[in-house]
Amino acid sequence: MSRKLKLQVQISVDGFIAGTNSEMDWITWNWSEDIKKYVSELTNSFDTILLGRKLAEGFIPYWKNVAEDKNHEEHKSGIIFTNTPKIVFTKTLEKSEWENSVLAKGDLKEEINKLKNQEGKDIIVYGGANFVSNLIKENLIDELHLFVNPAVIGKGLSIFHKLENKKELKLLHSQAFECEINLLHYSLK
Amino acid sequence: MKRKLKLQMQISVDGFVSTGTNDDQTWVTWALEDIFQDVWDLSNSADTILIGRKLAVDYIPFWQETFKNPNDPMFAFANQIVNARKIVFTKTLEKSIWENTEIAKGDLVDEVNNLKDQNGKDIVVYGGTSFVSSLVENNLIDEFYFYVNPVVLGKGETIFDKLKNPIKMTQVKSKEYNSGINLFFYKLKE
Repeated sequence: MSRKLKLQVQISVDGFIAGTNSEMDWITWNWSEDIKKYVSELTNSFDTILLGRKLAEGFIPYWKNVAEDKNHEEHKSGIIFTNTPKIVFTKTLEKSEWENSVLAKGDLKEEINKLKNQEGKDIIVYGGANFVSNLIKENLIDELHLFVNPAVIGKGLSIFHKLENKKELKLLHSQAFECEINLLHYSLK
Repeated sequence: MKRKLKLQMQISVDGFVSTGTNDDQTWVTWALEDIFQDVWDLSNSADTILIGRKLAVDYIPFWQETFKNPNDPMFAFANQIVNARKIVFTKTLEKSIWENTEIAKGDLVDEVNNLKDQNGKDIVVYGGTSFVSSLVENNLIDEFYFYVNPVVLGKGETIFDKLKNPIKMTQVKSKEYNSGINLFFYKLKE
């Protein structure tokens, strides 16, 4: 029984995770209690975070600042994201410049399968778009937790465009949150 | 009180409504018994169907054929569609070649607003892709009924590619079906 790799991502009805220039103004940030509870439970299910190098450069320092700010409303999340071991996938960096973070520079498939075969809780990935699209192309993601926002944006960054063929999903669970975000929880295999 | 224009479409998780020109629609979860009541209710709330010319040439004859066979499981739909007032939007056809069908050749926005101002039940549109993307581009659709199929296509045709700015919507309802389809029912944010 290997660990699962789960994707949690905000997505538009037309399937984009960000605008062409990474715009996120279409995303509902005013979360209701039910989605906070869902994310909190999901967060309890993993002990490793995968990040593409580009996202890591924003993600890790951002949450470190939040963790250091006791008055920040997401202070607890900041501590979790800062303390959880992170694997940053890169071809360019030579060594990790962040705490609790190691680099993975090898073949994507081998690195992920090695991680899945280790002991522990599950593994989560949040982005970025390019990194996740490679994971999807290589069939490495086990579960999608898609937060479908009530918006269409016309064009933007996709995570499914590298697929050569259509891919059937299995719906495990769906939920309409009060803030009008819909959860679609699928398994991929 | 204007009539509403309602869009109902099958869509993939990654936002495509078709795989392309020769779409055999095998990616769609055909669980009609599952979604029948909701599809029927929507169809019943309208008395006018808008159709792009490219879809019309297949769509109208298909339902006329189905209507000839009272034992066909789709007969009730066929009855509704054949007898509904249909408006085919075209730049090329000179006159309608089908029963209960009119041709609209004018400016899209004017034609649709004119229809909305008339008396009657609501107006529904099911496709095709290019026609619907023009309706979306011009902000003419009041309600969206997306049947989200449990599949990602990777590439294909979309109805949102002509949008210049994001559209934020209000969710009216969402519903999960046993077959793994989800209905997302949105209206335009006012």
